[in-house]
Amino acid sequence: MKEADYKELKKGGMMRQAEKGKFSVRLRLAGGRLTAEAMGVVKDVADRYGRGEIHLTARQGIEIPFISQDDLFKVKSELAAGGVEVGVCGPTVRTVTACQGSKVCPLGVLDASGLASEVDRLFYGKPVPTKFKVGISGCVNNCLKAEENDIGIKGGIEPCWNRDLCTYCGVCEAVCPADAIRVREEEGRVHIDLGKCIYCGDCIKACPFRAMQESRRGFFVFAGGKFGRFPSLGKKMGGFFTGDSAVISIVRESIEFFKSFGKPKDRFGTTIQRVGFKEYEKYVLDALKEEMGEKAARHHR
Amino acid sequence: MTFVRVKMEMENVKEGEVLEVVLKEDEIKNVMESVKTEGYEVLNVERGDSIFRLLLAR
Repeated sequence: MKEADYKELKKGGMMRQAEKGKFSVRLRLAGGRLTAEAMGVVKDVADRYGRGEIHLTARQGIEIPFISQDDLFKVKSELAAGGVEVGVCGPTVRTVTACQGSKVCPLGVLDASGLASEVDRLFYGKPVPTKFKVGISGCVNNCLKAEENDIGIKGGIEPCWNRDLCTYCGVCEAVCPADAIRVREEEGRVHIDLGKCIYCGDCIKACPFRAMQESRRGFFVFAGGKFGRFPSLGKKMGGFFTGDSAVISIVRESIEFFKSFGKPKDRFGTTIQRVGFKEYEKYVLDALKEEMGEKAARHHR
Repeated sequence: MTFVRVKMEMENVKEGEVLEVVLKEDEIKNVMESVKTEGYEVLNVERGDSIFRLLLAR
C-alpha cells in the first residue's frame, strides 16, 4: 500500500495491525454510548469480516480488529448503512468521553452524555495540530478523569447557607471532605470557604434541616492534560462556570487557541505552556464574555 | 450498614415515639442522606465529642 493511502486510512480510523494486511477499524462513538441495534451491526461486521471479536479501547471506543485491507471500504459502507460511522485518528479532535451523567447516575450533576454527543457533533474529527481529547465527568467524583484530557469538564454544585433553617448542628462541617465549612453558632453564622470547597454537594445532601442549599450547578474546566509517555495533569482554567452551552463555547475557543498557536507535534498542554496559561485563560474568558455577557462568564478564583 | 440498623429500629417505632441514634462522626454522611431519602423526620441533631446524637421520628 502507498504511504499516502495509509495516511488516509489512518485518518479515517483504519489502524494498521501488527499482522500484515490486517486492520483494526475504529468506530465513532460519543461518551461510550451506542444503541443495541448498532451493537448488532458491529457484531455482524466483526463476524463476517473480522474474527468475531471487538476491542474496547482505553477511551470508551470500539475497534473491530482483523479486517483485511481489501475489505476496508466494504466494511465502512456496511457499517454506515447500519448507522455506524468509522472513527478518526491522527491530528484531529478525538473521541469525546463521558460518564452517564445526570440522566442515569444519581450523583450526576451535568448531563455528561448529552454534552459529549453535542461536543462530538460539533468538533469530532476536526483537524488540529495534534490529537485533542475531551472528557466529561458529570460530577466531582470524576469517573472520567477530567485532568487527563486536553480539555476536561467536571460537574459540581456550589452550596449556600440559609440562616433561617440552620440549627448549627455541625453535620455540614463534619461531612465536608475539604474542611471548607466552619459552624460558628456563637457568631450566628456558618462560613463556607469557596476557595477550599470542591463543589461535591455533600453538605447539601447531609444537612438534616435543608439549611445547606444548592446555589448553582455548573462545572470546572481542566486544560492541557495528557497521558502517553510523559503524563501531566490538566490545570484548572477559570473558576466555576454555569450553563451547559458554556461547555461548548470553552471547547470551541480552546480548539481555536490550539489552531492559532499550536505547532505540529505540540499537544495542547505544551502550546499553553509556551504561550502562557494566563494568556490562554484570557483568550477563552474574553470570548465567553463577548458571547454571554459579563455575568454569565463570572467565575470564582 | 449503619443505616440498615437504623432502618430496622425505625420499623419498631410507633406513632408518637422517637428513636435516639448515636453515631460516629464518619457515619453521619451516609446515614443522614438515607434518613432524608427514607423521609424520616429529624427532630434534633446534637454534636458531641466525635459523635452525633439524632432524634428521629417516622
